[in-house]
Amino acid sequence: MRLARRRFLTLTGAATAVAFGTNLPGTAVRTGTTPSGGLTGNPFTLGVASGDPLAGAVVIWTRLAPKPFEPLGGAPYKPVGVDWQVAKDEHFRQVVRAGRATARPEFAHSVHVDVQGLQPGRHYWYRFRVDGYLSQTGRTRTAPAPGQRGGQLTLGVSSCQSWPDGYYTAQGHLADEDVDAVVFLGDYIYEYGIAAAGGLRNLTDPVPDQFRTEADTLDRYRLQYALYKSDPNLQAAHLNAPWITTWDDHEVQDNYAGLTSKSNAPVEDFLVRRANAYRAYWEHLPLRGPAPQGPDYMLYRRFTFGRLAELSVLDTRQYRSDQASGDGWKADSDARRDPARVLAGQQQTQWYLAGLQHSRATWNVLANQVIMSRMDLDPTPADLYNMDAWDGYGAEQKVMLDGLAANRHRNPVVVTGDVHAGYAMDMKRDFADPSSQTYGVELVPTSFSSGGNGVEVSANGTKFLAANPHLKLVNEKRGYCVLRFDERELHVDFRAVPYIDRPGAPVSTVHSFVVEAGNPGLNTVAGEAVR
Amino acid sequence: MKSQGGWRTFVVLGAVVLGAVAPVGPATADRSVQRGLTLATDTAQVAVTPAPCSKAGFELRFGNSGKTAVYADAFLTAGTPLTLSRKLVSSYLPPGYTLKVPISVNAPRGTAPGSYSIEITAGDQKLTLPVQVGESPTGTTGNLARYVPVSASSEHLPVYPACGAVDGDRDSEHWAKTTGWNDATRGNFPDWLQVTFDQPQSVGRVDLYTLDSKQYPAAAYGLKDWDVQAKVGGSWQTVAEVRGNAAGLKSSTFTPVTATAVRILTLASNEGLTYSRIVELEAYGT
Repeated sequence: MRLARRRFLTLTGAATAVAFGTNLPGTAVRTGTTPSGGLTGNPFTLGVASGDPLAGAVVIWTRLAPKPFEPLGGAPYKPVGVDWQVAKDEHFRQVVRAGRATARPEFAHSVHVDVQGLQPGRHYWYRFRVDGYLSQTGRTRTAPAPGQRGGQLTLGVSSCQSWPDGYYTAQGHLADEDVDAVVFLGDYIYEYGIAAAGGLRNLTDPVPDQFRTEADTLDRYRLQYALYKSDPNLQAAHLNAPWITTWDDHEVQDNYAGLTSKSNAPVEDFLVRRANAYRAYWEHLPLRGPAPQGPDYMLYRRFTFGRLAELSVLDTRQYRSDQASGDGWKADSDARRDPARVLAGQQQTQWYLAGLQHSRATWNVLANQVIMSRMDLDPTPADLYNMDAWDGYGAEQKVMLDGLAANRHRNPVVVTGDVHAGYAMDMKRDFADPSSQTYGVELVPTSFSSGGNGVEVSANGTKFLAANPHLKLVNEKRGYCVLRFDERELHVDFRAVPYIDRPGAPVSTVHSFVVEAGNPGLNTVAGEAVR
Repeated sequence: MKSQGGWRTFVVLGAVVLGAVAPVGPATADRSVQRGLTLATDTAQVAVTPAPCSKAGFELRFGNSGKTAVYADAFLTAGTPLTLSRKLVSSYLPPGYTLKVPISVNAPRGTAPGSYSIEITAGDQKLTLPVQVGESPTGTTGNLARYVPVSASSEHLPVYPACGAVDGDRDSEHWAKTTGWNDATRGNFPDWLQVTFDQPQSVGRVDLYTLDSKQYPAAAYGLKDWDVQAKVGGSWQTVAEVRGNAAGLKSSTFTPVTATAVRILTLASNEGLTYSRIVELEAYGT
């Protein structure tokens, strides 16, 4: 990866500054120094974003799409130069970095600039311009300096934003939270075709015909991202803070596993689909380059927020073995515990555990897709496990959990997506024994939208509570978590909205927990009832 | 949003710091025309009946005969007034791989019969696929909903497409085999099924055949409550309300309106919170 980027720099050199100066306020003149990109309308219909913050760098993103639901997003079939600026203030009086990037049709006219040379631990504002069109202004924030002690870190965390499952009210509220970064745990899009009425959005203006089929080819995945990213609340959430994202299954296909598609399509065909999906994912999110070339892409990575926190981001789809026993909820079996079957894969697991062991941070956060703790759906003495979650990969689950337990003093915090439910769990040496040692916590911050309005506690939620004494909270409304870390404690708010089948729901905190540094386990905040 | 003065300010202040910028992307110059792509179809000619629900199309075979993997684009254009389900197919193509993509071809009613063509281009390749358009089907029953575009809030595919509700088949015994529309949002009402006329039509009667077979009688599985709506002068108005229906056929008559479209807004099923099921929708002048 690093090599490829260096080669690129050698070939093309650093971006050059472009002189602007002929535009007067309120005009949209094409300047002599800005060659026409041939755009036929405002190209910033999908907003702007930033992501993957480091102490001195952050990626800023946009995509040129004057007609986002048309082929090529309505952009010309040629490269287009895009100017960008990063400033210390929202009025761009102190521009500290600027340049020109090239939006290429082979990357859906997306722009990813890895802006470097920034100061650690501060806000920046950024924007783009092309052909006289000025983008929205995004706010971003760099990570604190590597050795920085103390301070605070606030993360917004969620997952699963099926567009036809409802309005992005939760994302809209997250845009109003003062978070340093947003961590997104997968299912940014769903691959399914979308009906004319847009599902639970129940639109009067029909979703165009080209959305009816399931996403499979690159052009079709791009369309899906265009629809999702056209939502103003999602755009607002990106405008407010840098995002650190990982994928789960639906960015490609429901419950795919490595080389195995849900329909057991020929591997040769599925890898083409996976390559198309991975490329579209990269194109639409603020990720560093280089872009995926083919069906493989290394997404797992680590972020450091001074000495306060480290965030490791997993990819538990790309390398996993096929689900055991035909997937679904199954009783314990030899297949479930087969040591030859992996979820993260040995290389990623070792990378993670070695990093955890060498971490100097007070808090060690793991951005994870599927539930890592034991989660039994059967309240009787029998067991019922989700073959798609870590429970379905018992051998590697044990390696991970043993590794976390061995690093109990490093304060492991696992955040998990996938299940469209808010859960809070103590991670136990023996999940069947409530008196056994707690070595970490797993927080599942429900979904942004997948699952529709949701309920407080479903029938399955009741079963989970009965079968899993380490499970301290179930709430199945839509929303997100806000995690506030300092040297002493982690404060977690589970935030939820009462409905998403129409816009405008208010947000409220359904429950809060505190985790003390050095003393793993969930403590409910005074005044709140917990089981 | 158009440019504001901020960029000008930045130039005046000259506060640009250069360097330390790492643009992200491939090390490619503006790419020249791609070579080694292949284009083919599964048929030498497509025969199209000019009606919205006619099923015609072909399979595009988009391949890479080169030695290296590429990301490639195939552009499809059809002679006016034909329409295609996809105008662009983009994909990763490993060496020797051929992607197969179904493309549907439609011709609106009234398209002059004769020869048309579809042009497909990718890299330096170009393929012309002949299309033969037949005679437009004509209704003799006065049913305005036959042979016009139909859409629905959702469709339970592939068995229950919206087209199944305007196929001329009112027989509920053919349900789930060849005819009928069923929505895809179980438990959620309202749903809607809509026909859009080629030109404004005077409409004074709408017949709705809901599911009513021996196995699935209307009183247990059919639509119970719905509104009949007409689009008049660009806005929807409710021209009839049906409540408590338990029959297979319900005919709604109303003072004729000049409408560009007719829509059934379904409100409740006799089965409870499940699905909307329409075997046939018909619209008449009187």
